[in-house]
Amino acid sequence: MKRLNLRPTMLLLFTLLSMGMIGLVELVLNAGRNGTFLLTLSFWTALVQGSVALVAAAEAAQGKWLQPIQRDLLAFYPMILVMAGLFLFLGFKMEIYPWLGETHRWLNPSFFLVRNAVVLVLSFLVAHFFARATLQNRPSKGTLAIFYLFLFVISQSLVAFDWIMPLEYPWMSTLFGGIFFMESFYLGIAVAVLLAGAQLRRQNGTPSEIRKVLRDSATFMFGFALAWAGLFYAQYLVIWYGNLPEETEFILRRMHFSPYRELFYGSILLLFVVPFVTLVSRKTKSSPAVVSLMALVVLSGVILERIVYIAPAVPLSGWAAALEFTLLGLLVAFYFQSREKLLPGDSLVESPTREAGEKIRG
Amino acid sequence: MSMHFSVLRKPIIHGEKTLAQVTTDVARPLETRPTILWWVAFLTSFSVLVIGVAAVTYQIMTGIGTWGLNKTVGWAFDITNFVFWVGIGHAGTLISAILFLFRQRWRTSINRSAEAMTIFAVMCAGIFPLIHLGRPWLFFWIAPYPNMRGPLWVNFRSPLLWDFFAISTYFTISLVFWYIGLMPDMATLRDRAKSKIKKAVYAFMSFGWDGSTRTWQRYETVYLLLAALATPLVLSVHSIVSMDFATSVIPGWHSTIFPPYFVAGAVFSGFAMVLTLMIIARKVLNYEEYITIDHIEKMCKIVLVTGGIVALSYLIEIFMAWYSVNEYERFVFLNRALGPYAWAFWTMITCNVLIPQLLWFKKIRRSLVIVFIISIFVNIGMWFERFVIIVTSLHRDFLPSSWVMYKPTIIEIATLAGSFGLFFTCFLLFVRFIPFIAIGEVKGVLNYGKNK
Repeated sequence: MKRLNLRPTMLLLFTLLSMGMIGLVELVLNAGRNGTFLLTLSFWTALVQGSVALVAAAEAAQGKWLQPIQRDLLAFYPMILVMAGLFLFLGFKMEIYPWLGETHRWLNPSFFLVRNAVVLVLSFLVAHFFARATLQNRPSKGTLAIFYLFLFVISQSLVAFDWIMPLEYPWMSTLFGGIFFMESFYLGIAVAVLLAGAQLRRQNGTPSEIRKVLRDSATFMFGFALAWAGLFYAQYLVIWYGNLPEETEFILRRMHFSPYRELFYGSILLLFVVPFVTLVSRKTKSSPAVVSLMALVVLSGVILERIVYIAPAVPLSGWAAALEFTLLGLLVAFYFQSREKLLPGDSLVESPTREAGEKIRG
Repeated sequence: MSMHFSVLRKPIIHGEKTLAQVTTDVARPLETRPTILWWVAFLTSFSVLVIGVAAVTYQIMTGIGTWGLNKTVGWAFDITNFVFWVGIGHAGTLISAILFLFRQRWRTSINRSAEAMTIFAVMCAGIFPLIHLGRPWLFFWIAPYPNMRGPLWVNFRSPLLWDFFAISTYFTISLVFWYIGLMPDMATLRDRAKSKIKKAVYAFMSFGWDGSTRTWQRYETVYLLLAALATPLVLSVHSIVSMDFATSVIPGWHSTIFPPYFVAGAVFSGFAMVLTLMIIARKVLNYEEYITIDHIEKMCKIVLVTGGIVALSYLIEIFMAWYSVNEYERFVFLNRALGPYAWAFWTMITCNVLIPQLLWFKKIRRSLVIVFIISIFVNIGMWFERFVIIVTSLHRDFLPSSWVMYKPTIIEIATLAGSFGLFFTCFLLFVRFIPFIAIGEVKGVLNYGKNK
């Protein structure tokens, strides 16, 4: 893994290379199956923003449980800028949206690109300052956490309302944004579990601090499984009960017709049933192997769910998705491994507050 | 003995209190004669309750034609009051269950009174659908039970029936949860009681609590299980209440965001009511060292967050009405903002969106007078929110020939006032007869942040 630890210039080079490759794949080699790019973009944006949002939420709530891995989670924040850069490629794929050509003040290509890019870049900037303030234990970290969360909610709502929902325009659901930013948070927790699990393995499974993080994250994952089900069901029930053709079509296409039907039920299984049933017991919540497995289940569940949202409207390409996911996965790994060079030192180590606290605890 | 304070964690309970002192402080209002202030408050709220009882009796005897409803606006004041009170009832169980699971130890000073508030609020809420039945003495027809009315059976597809199940379950669990938490304190009062009657009553209510390790262990297990049970209920009750509206196809009601938005609104209004009550109670009962300014600040933060979710929901609803290009949805939101009930809409926006923004400032969060005023505004705003949702969506029907205005009658206003009377009467009785603060739980956090 140490080989993944790159110098900043090499990291920048690899980032540009990856973005270039994704651009090449999407704009030249895979021009016909335009849904792939949206899948890649929506999943990875949710994952990186969610990871930072988790730290921000813990900071805003003055929760200390995440501290042992907050540095690891914050390592992903540069990826938000990468996602903002990649997003611009969507400008060449606007034909995927049925609203193209309509005169709507909100739904017009240039405004669409500008507002989303601006929000992503702002989100990156605030994440950058927040990460620095948190790791250097500056008093501004609380305010920045709230700013970041604010932008996170707007950004993920835009992912839902701007990127995915208009694929089936004029279908709409007011809860769509809520589901997306909740899911992004869910992904952040899954990432936290994987990072805590990895740290535990690196340190031969001894530190109780990390075990505690793992257990708390597992509890959160269990809670989010329930919350996900609650939001999913709220949306489903309102649409089912209203039984309006312009609303039900979206659900029916995904629920009743193969192959989306299988994926639809699969996503429910992976995002709710499996984590809920597995993590209900205290024993499983304390097992690093089981909890890490559940985190992978959640990651797969979100991918599956995004496929269900996108594929019936725009076709996907398997090989392109695999390539893009591999490239972005590698990029995330590089950023993570290079965190010591990219992030400032953890001032908590020499924080007077911490020292004083330790003295008192004896 | 000298005391050190942790630089990492602030003490939850202020002052150098001993365990015995906590018991004495909390038991004092129960063991002394009520003050003049208490009598004034009690008699006022009881009088308002009597007015409410008179109004309810009159409308039951005469029929719900005494209300201002008409053929277009079939739901108005009653359902507004119902949703309002169910919302108020959300904070108690949230504090007790969710904050318990999140290990928020500051909850211990306020959980008992907030839970009591939940129970009284749900009682108030229950009155309105009951009267709305028209023949409340047949209320048991809502419950599915083997009957001799042939194929007549409750409609399981009706969200109103879901309400019945959701609220009755919520009430039962909240009551059990509250009572379980009360048992050790009842035993404390039993042991302190001087009169035989008091001793017997508290002994009965404490269910033979002996304070042994085994009893405490079992108590903690039950408490944890009930907290886990109550948590989904906190989220489900108002989701189901929101379904009364969202499952219909009326513009302004049929919205998928309603369930989480109603839950956030309920917690928002519930905490505002807790703040209103706590700010008065801590002063009157001399509990300033137990319910500290830090407690108030933390509750303000919850009000700010949930208020933010409510504001976001308003924004999304308005945005979606515009985005959808659905003329009926657009009309509803334009009518809300600019129509004949615009005053109610703007009251709602001012109280729920604008005024709570003041809570971003630490100085304001720590100013009791300002927080008290803000909490009152939020309560008013949340009542208006329900009024706006219900009346503005109904009074402009699809057919312009059915367009009407709604005005509450004096009977409806008296019933609403009566529900407040019931709420405050119950709360004042609670203050006199049951420990306002969970003695056992507060003792557990007495040394939190202090190193003795």
